[in-house]
Amino acid sequence: MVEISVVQAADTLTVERKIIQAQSPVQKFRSQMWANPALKYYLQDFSLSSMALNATLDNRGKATLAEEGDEKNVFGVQAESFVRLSDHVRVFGAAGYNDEHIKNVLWNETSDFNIIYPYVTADSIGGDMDGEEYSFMGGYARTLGKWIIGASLDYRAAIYYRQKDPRPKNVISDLHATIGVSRALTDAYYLGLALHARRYDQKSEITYMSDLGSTSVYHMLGMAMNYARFAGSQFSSNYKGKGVGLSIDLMPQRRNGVSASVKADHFEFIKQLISINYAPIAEVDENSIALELAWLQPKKAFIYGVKLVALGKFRTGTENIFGDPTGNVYPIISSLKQYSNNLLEATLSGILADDAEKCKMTWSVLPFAGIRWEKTKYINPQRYMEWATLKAGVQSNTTFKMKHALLTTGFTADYHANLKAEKLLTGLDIQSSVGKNLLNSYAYQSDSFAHVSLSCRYDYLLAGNKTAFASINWEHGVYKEYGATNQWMASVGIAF
Amino acid sequence: MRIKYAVFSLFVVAAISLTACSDDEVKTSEVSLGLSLPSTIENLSVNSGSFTFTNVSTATEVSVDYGATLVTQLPDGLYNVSFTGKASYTYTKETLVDGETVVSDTLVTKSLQGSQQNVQITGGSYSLSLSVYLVNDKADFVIAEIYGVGTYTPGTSSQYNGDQYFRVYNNSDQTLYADGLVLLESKFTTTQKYAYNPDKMDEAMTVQVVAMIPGSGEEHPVEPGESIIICDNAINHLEANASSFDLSGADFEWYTQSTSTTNPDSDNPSVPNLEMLYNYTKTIWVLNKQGVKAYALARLGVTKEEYLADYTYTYNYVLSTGATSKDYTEYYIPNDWIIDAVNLSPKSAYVWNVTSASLDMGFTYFGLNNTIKENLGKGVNRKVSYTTTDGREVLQDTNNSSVDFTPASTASLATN
Repeated sequence: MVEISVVQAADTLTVERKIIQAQSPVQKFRSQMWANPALKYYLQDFSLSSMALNATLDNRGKATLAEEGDEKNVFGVQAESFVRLSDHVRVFGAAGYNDEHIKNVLWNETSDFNIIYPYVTADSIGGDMDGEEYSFMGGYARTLGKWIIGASLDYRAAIYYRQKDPRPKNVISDLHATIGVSRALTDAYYLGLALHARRYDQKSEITYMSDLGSTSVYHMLGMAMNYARFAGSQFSSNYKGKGVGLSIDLMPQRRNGVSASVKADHFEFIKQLISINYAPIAEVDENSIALELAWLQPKKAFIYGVKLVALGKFRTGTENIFGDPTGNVYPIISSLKQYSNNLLEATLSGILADDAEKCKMTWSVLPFAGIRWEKTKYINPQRYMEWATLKAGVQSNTTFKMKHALLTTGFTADYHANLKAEKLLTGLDIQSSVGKNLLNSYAYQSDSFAHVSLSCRYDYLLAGNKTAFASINWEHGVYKEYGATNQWMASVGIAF
Repeated sequence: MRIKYAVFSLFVVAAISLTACSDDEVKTSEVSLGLSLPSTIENLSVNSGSFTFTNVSTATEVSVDYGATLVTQLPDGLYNVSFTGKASYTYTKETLVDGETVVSDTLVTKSLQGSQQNVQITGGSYSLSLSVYLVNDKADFVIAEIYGVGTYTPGTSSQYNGDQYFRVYNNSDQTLYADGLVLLESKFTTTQKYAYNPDKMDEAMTVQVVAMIPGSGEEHPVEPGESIIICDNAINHLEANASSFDLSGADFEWYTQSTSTTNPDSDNPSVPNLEMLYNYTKTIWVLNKQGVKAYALARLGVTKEEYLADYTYTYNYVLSTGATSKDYTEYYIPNDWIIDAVNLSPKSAYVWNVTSASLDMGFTYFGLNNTIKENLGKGVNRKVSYTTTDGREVLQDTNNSSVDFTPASTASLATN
């Protein structure tokens, strides 16, 4: 039986071959299991490092959540490395710095909306946000008899701010730690087990320089509700989160065959108001489970396969109710589970690739189709929004080997059709700014859209087994009602 | 293949278990509604009325009519509760007719109201016993308007000081004299509550400003339906600030003779000053722009000398750490002397009233929130209850600032 050839003898490949393998859609077909550092030992059998300068211009126009802004420009530098230290040890790491400018953020003066929603601190004024983000990741894996053990740390620190009233300053730290083990289960499979832990903090403070003083801020509760008792001038808040997770992976030793990866995570955080003795006004609990099942099989010169990726994410939000604040002490007298957001999605993909090592050209085609369902709910007053979306598309990649260069091109086209959009918004003031924002958010997420993506990367081979590369990527979305989106990404760097 | 089935099963079981616990209802408690009637009146019975529960967390209101079934169901939370209604009682009247004593029963119907802040309704059931008071309907001076945030200076976009004012209105049908009327500012704030010891609220108002209108008794007559203006600086503010007003024609101004050379108070000698019996500040008295104090009108029941000598008390309170604060000594005004009181608080930040519920059972506000920038140019204005046949406006005075005032309203003196 023919095997997919990714395991090469030692670290003797040319950089050209390493890049082809690392960038190969076949190699990337499975992704979830690499979250286990002990399995990442098998990611590749060679060392490869890269450094790049990146620029991203992402203009979403109307097709965006106002809380995340309508345009984002990012300039940064990234470095990553996977090193085969010896026959028994792998180390890997990454570091990055991004300078960001986000335009027209409304109803959100905090950052990381996708993590702390719906409990953002907000106002109707908003504006642009500047940010700097630093990230570091380091991992280590080694053999220990029949076992592989591994550990990794991933840390992100960021600051976002605005130099115009209202002036938020959000300081974020986000640490992920993972320890994992793996060992051969049979002659054909490795079994991996990993424990994941997370610590998340965000401190948000809003100041005003105007002689006229401050404007009102609101502590949002989801679905355009806000904590009326603390509206006004509670300008400082704190988010403290923690998470744990467990992943189990089954990986074929030769990579052809079936793989399975299931990862369950729990994440929770509290939002505190600093000026009233860190009163915890809201709490979030989120449970998620992610599944990746993949099958790859070579046949003659081709490789073909199929993959199912499924995700279930279930978030609940609880508001704490405070009693008589005599002495500025806010005792918790009750807790009300008011908010929920549930998401289910599944995507089935196929792959057909000509990944032959000796050919001048390699190519792949990946058709995919999926379904996504999401429901956000607030209990009293009763409000909900529900969507279901069907997507289908195709992705294609081609790599041309030239005398001193590699040219990799990619193309993706997909269509996302809304199947269901339903809402009930009891008591919503549709004339208010926050009411209009919610309706806009609902309509945007109900819209069908088409998406295309074109990418091109050119690697020029340098002496000393290095390449210099430049890449450009364009993504374009066309919404039925919400206009067009454009994202340009460009990189220059070296790989060795 | 068995492994694949096991993984699939794990996914399905986990997904079901994660979604199975969804709960579509919030916790509620059953509330028994009761009133604690004044014990000084016999045969007092409640005819009608309604309870209003304002959820402090959400600012939503629920009204429950007073009726046969005095039970309601509310979401768990912290509430401010008020009651307004009608009550009646009979009293026996003895009159002399042709030398003989005639006994007759007379039915009296009066407004009844009461309020209680920070009522904690949790745990499945709650029994409410709300103290209520009969409304005193004797007409007198009332605070018709408080313009407390001030304006801003166009061009510089800075806050402007000096144009705060009170409008005091004769709400009776007789000429009243403003001589000796005292204007009071509360010591305590409506947005921060402490357990004061002793708690004198039911008998007096603790004050930090006692400012008296001068006069020998009949120097400052105010006709029925007429007002007097008491302001900070009685000058034409329009000369310096187009968004302000001309206060040069005010009846009185307050002058605190600031001891600060960098922050001097200004005085218009052609407008009489209030006699500042007591003021906490040594610089300039500026009304709290966030609107977190109570203001009241009173007539001293003793001479001003006796008042200044005898009407202080010493209190302390429990700090957030649980320790007891140091002792403070402040002036107080007995509730019996007070003829009108208005509690102010930003709507979202309201915690409690700093006067007895018998004086004011509600509060009014300059703005929804305590953000001055959004509240500039706003004040509170008392509503007109009705107009008499001779054209005199009678202002609403139910001792409930929540319903008697139009909050966050434009100054009556504003011309632009």
